[in-house]
Amino acid sequence: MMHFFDAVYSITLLFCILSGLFVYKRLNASANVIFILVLLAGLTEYTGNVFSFFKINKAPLYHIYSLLEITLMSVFFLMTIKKYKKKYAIICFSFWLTICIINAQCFQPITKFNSYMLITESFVIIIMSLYALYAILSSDVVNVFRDNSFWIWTVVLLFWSGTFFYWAYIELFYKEGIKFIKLITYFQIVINILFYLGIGAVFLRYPGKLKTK
Amino acid sequence: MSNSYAVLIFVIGTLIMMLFAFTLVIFLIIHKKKRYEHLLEKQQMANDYQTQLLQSQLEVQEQSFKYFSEEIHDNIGQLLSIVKMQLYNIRNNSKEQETITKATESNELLGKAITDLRNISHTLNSAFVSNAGLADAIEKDLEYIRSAKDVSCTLHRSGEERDLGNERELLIFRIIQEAIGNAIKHASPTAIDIYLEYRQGGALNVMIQDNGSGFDMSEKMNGGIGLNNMHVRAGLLKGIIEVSSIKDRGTIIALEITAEVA
Repeated sequence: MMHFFDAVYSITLLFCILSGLFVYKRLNASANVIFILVLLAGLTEYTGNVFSFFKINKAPLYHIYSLLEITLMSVFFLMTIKKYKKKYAIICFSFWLTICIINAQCFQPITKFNSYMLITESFVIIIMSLYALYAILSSDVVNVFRDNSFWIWTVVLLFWSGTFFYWAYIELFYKEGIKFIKLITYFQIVINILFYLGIGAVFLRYPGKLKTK
Repeated sequence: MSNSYAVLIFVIGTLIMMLFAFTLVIFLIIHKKKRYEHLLEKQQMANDYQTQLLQSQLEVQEQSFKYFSEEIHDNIGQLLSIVKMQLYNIRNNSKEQETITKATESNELLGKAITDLRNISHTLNSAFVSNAGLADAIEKDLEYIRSAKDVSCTLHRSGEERDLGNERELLIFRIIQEAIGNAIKHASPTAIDIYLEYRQGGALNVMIQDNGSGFDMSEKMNGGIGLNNMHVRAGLLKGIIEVSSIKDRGTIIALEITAEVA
């Protein structure tokens, strides 16, 4: 069953990458950032599979990916939110980086799975997404359906809201070996699948208005 | 913390987070949709108001045209006819050759003036277009221009002619008049060609082409009252009007009225 979910997840990720490639010339700068993020996610996941096959510790891979992910997400929000100021992005990023350094030094070294980093990452991205939605709510943009950035913010918010508690409890669940662990993991994979399907679908909507600037 | 308690927090926490995010997005979509609809409604109302205002302006203009037309026909025309008769009497009763010659020449000039005035009176009167029909009204107007302004004017008619309704024909006629008037006033053309094409399926294309001095599109497109009037009238016809001009080469004004409207 796990193999099936993993396979569907890999195919969805591939669909998302191919969607981005298909409309690559039509993507604007901020969409390109998301596309790079998807490419990196794909690279990390497929490399992670290879590492698993050769029984190599893949935790460092996720540490690096998390760092790149939060950086690219910060850049994306900076590019798409009209009211968003550079200093907010820098504050969010710095806050998260400090937590990461403390975490790597004191709790989860680079050889261990970085769930605490992911909790703070979720928190920061949820805050940025909420701010983005607040910005569009108070902006003059009336037809949000045509605004691709709105759909990306929505997909990002739903994804990180759905995974926040997973990162908070995953270590405990695995340590305790609770009986629902598989079900919870399936649920998380489904959320991942929906996320990449959503992003892939938004890519295919291009060219559309992405920037609210 | 017991395992079941942790699972419960995970499930409830995840559900609340996702529900919150979902509700927020739905609220935002509904809010924006309502604002969008409200904005569309406001725009529609503003457009309707603008159209009504323009229609009223044009109606007032038409009434003024009618008043001038009647004044010219009934008063000035009558007075000039009396003057013509008196000149005729002077010519018949006079014995001096010089007086006879001058009276004859004045009578001829007066005759031409009366004819021109009658033509102006006709073209100003909206009933003239409805009585004669669009194409014939244009022909009459061109006849007057040919005689009065020394400009070669030709109407090219194609397609099966049909009645478009008095109001629409009058609007089209006024657009053509405005275009010709503008050309004569500002571009000093030697030739004006009007193409009236009744297309299959009910659409109508009108093109007014002159070989005058033309104008710089970037400079004059937003300013002229004449051009604005044409756009207003085209808007009332729900037609599309395009103006293209090249300096020293002339101007083309194309009006396209779609089948549904025509």
